[in-house]
Amino acid sequence: MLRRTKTLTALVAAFGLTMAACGGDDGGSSEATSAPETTAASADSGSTDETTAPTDSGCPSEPDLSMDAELGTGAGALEQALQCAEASPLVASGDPVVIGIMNPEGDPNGSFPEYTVMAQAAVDFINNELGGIGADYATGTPGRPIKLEVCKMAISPVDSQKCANELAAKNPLVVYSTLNFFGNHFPILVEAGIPVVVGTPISPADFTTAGVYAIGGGGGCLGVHTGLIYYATQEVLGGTADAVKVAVPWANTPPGVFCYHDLEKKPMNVLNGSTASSSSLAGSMPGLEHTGVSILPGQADVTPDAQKVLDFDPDVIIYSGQGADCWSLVNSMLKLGWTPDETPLVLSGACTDLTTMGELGDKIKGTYMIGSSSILVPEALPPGQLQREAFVYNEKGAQYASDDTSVGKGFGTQGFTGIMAIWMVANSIADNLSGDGLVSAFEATKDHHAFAGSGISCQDAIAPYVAVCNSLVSASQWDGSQLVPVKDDFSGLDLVAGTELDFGANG
Amino acid sequence: MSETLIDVHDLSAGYGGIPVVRNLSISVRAGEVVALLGPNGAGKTTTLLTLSGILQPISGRVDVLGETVSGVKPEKVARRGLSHVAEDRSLFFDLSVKENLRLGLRGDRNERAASMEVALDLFPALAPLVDRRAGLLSGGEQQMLAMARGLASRPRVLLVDEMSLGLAPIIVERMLPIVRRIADETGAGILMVEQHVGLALSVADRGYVLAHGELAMEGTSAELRSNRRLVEESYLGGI
Amino acid sequence: MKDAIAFAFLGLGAGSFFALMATGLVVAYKGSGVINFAHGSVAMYAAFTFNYLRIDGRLRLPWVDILPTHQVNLPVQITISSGGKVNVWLAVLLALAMSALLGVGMHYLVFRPLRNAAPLGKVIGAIGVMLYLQGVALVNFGSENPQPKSILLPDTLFKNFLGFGKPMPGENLGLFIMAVLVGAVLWFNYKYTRFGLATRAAAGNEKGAVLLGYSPERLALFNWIIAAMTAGLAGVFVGSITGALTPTKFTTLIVPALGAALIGSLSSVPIAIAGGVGIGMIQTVTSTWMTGKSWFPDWLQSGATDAIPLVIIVLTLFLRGKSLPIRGNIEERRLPLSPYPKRIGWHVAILVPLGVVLAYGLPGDFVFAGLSGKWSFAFMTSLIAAMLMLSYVLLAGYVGQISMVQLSIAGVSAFFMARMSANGVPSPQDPFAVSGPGLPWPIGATLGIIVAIAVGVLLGIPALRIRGVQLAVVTIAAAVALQTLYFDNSKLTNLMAGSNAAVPPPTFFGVDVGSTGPRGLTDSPKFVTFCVIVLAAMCVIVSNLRRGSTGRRFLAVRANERAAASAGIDVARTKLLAFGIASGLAGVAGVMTAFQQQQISSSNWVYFAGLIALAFAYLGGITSVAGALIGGMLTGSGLISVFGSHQSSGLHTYTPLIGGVGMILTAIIHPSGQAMLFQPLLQYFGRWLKAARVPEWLVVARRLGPYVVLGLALGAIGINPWRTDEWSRPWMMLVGVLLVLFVRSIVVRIRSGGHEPSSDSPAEVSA
Repeated sequence: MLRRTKTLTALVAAFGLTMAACGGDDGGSSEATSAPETTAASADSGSTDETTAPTDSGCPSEPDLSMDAELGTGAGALEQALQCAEASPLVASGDPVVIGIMNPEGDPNGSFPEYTVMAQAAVDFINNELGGIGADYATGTPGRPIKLEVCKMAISPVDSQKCANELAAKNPLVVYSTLNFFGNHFPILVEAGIPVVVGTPISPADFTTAGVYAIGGGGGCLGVHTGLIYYATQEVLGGTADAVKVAVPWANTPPGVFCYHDLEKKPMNVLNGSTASSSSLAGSMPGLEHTGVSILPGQADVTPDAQKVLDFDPDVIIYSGQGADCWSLVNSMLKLGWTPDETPLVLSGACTDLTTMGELGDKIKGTYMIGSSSILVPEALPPGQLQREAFVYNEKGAQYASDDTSVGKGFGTQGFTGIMAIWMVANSIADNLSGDGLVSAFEATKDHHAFAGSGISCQDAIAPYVAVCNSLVSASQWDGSQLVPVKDDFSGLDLVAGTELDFGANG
Repeated sequence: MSETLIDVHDLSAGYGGIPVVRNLSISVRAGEVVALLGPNGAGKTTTLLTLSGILQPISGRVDVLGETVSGVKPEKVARRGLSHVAEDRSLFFDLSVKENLRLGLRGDRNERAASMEVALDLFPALAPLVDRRAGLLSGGEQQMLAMARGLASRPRVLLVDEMSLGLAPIIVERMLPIVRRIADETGAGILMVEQHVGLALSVADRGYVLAHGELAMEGTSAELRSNRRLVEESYLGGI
Repeated sequence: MKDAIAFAFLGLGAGSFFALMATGLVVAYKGSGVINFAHGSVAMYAAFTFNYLRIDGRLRLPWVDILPTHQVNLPVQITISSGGKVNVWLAVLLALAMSALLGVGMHYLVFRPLRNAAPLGKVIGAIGVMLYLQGVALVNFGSENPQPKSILLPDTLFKNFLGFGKPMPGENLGLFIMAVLVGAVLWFNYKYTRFGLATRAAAGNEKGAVLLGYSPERLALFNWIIAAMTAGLAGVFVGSITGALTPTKFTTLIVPALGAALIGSLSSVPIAIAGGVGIGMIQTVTSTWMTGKSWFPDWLQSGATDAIPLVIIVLTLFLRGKSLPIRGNIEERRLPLSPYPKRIGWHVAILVPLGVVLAYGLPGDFVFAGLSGKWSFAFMTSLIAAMLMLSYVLLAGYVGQISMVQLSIAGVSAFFMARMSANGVPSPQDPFAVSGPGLPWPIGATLGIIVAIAVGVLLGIPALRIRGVQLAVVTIAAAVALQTLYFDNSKLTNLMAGSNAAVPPPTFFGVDVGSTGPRGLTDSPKFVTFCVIVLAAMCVIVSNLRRGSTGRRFLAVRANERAAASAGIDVARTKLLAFGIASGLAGVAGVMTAFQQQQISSSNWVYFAGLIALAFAYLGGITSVAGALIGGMLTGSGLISVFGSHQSSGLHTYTPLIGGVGMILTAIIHPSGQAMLFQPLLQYFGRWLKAARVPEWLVVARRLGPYVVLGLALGAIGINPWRTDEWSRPWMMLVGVLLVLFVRSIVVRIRSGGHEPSSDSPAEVSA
């Protein structure tokens, strides 16, 4: 009896709270009111959107094309859509467009549910406010809604192909491949005529397969590693021709071998002239000496490897690791007496872990992080369109996400922004949506604006990395308590221009 | 009339549900030495295993020290005050003599020290061997160790399975009086399984003869000694 | 040289970790005769517990809330400190208490019920615990993977340690000292205390201990607690130097720890500790100092570290194999019965056409509306998995050899075939083509299988001297070593790092039977038919082996090697033959996998997947061909699991949990695996259908009817919230019925005292 009473009380309280929360919205501004909590509510407000008088930021009937020149193709259209959504959300209607997404979840070896949670949030945002694909804001005509088909996979090659088969059978317009270590799903999807968009490129197949478009993560190790080398040698070391030493600890996993040899060792060999290249910086640092220290995954203790790095007596240390593995090495180096003052450290953005970094505080002050700008803390970004879009992400993402934690995770941002990017490109062929059409649209992108990102430029992909549509990275520096941006949107890709792929087969 | 320590009535026991011993009724009183005789396969070891709780009886009543052993774990039966020196001696070969004995001791510190002394007193040949690994002892020394260990807990019931197995007669002759001494001095009830009829009856008060899983003969040791031929026949399957 | 020694000292950190883990393995073995492969997971859970107490002050209990309602919840979290962080030493204490709790759980829920099981059952139990803990960690701690926190002397540094020129972090030294102290305490415990003596006694002779009044189960319980707590110590203290905390952490690190435990003969804690420290130091010197030397062979560069534990394990077992303690329990049940296959012809005649029907029917929409692509693929996966399972059935089921390396052997054959078929010509599908002779696929496949057999026989040689769980240890080490020495080693495979090896599709007289169907999906009916035929052939071969004299020899060796030898059977020959044939079967599975996926990489053959494959083979029924088939259906991405995840996407996160619990339950309750459960049923059903008349139907209806109705109701209502479509409701009801009948069978078995059904009716079963 007691338990039931308690349950009943809990239910009543929950109901009451919900009512209070919903009721509270009416007290806010007219714009806020029309932001719906549920689909049902939005259906009501959507049908009468024309009658709502626009306030400050109304719904422009034309996109501001001057924005495109500065911020990339489609920037104006995006801003128009955002403003119209804020003014009076447009609900999509009609035949749904199927977008597939395959993501590792539920596997103790690696599980990233935030990717799909935020992708679904983006889909809901698009369907409930942005009017779906191909909406016409001038006439208030809604476009087609997106239906997101999710396939969860374990981290195994079999499951990767399983998801490819499963999604392909549903005839999607495009498949969003979030994180895939194997690349064996591409042939299936490409043969079935379905374009694939990659969120976080990892394996060489993510960079080199035709019909695949890697739009996120700064181009994976392609953009990030070359960016690391570029920043470390040109900015930290000043591009000097004097004798300098660079130590590069690197993760010795199958993709890691490629990422090190081809995208870290090779650029440095280009810089010191031992590898021929058509790069403008070829041979500009003849005194550059470098060494790699391979770090095997799953090691019990990386202290000896850290010592090996320090033994080299480098002028700068570069490390690109997986998440918290970065800090294991940094901690070991700290224990062995290293300080960032003595030897600057340049880390990849994937290492960002504000909690750990907060705890280390001043001990790692001055460390650089190279990667795509994080949109998780919009206040830390310089004012501009990126910041505005970051705010939209945080607000709408939190609103539509089915849980509380995904919106604050790095992969969550990738899930959301990836869907937005697909939506933007699909909009350009909205009257004739087809897999082939999307392929052409992607291939044609050059400096195409990406929502809260650094742009999509599949035209700029250099052979053989034909799938990389984004390799711009930015640099920030840890000042002891937060990350401060220091350099925006640069790329080190030039360093590998005109070179052959180096898989490390020759040591 | 001294207390009945072992009271078995109509016991059927065996392996996997198949009885090896049928309708057996035996008893052992305090201070008695009782011999359990019979040829190979008669069910003697099976009986002892049932008494100490390692085998569960199929049917019948088995009371040890006043309580049943049916459904009771063997370690609990042992802790009631029963010591079973098994046929294979079950020594801990990697442990020393002293450690083997130590594991047999019960009670508080003083009691244990005293029991250890008593055990070594009973078998003085073990004294110089206390630090030797049990696996390195000779057959006779191992049997002595097994007995000493069994006695180290000052049991009220002692089951001994084939004490003479593999031992030179002279050694057996030296050990038998100790069995008698235990029963007389401590009032323990002792059930001895033996193939050597003569040796067993020389120290036993009574005896049972098992054949093919059933009780073939019983009586005082004097009776059995005088009926030697009958006993032999039961061994060879005549009865 | 000075450098080498300095680096060796730097290896003390890793060495201390191995030492502590080895200690726990030794203690667990002393207490209960189990080599606990889940030991690393206990350390992982303790590390997670500690770190999260320090992060958000909440203690997560090692289970999940399985109640589907939101009103009534199983408590999963306890908030210790609502302010956030918990004091360090309190957190350490709580983490150790959690480890102790896990130890208690492992004893009562897993290893005590398994105390009389065959060694394979205990291995499966340990794998089940490992999966369970990983699954719980994933659900309870999420996928944050935080950096663990240092506790001991995080800021001290000894410069120029002992004069060898390199610094030594205080933390690493502190860990070493802690490992030594723990070793000293435990050495004292096992040498001088009564508990320690009793443990050693029971390990040597359980009956003797029992007769003296010691309860082996009590002893086991306390030893499990000690073992789990050493794992907890390892996880909490040493965790900080091992890098990011993930649920699968420490699973590979168990191999060097096993090596150290074996050096200690699974009985001496101090020697195990010395062994662990030694292995850590040797590995470090090899990976940091030796790899830089010019005389160090190129192809060993990345694989050397993992090869060392394998070499140590093999050497130790070879040299000391006979003297390692094998615990003799009072009453050890042997492996479940291996049924005598009958009527294989009928089975082939019925199942092969059924397979072909499915091959053509699944891609079409008539069976499962609109969801074709994945069913065909799942069916293919199941068929090929069943092929691998046959390898386990033969080796572990018939001959009693616990081999964890069969998947890796399949990989060897696949890789070799891929290389033989390669011709170095890049294509859009295969931009990084490997150079090779470009042989046609039958030759390439045959060569691959031959190489697999050779490797398998080589790996079988240790089996001549090593038995039971120790062989399992060797095979795990071999699987890990194969992974890094061969599959991941681009110097040997010539594969471009990170890229896959392409496999051209097979053809039969010009007809393409590759796995790609007309729509580009992996659903080609011809390939499925190919798989069905190959699997059928393999089943027939294995069945005939079992029926013939080879099978009898196998079973004799399994039952009692000495007795078999004295009966005139050449045990060594028989074992090597078994390894050879099993490796051939695995080789075929590898080749078919390669054809199915059309590109393979080292990830297809990770050693952990091999463990899981063995576990599924056991689940399905390791002693019969039918068991292999069922195991194949059950395996991840196989038909049944795809069906299950299709019905309920909400369960996806709980798959490792359910799998782990399922394995433990099967090891305890149905050691013969599911095959023995369903097979007599199906078989009865067949004969029964022919003979039954109305009265028999009525009897069954009355007996099972209520349960069927209950199952239908359960399916329609209870499992309903998890279903995904409208049309899956009838399937839900079917699932409900199966579930209820399964539970009923368990209850019946428990009531009947756990007698094997097959022992009651040996003549009834067939392949």
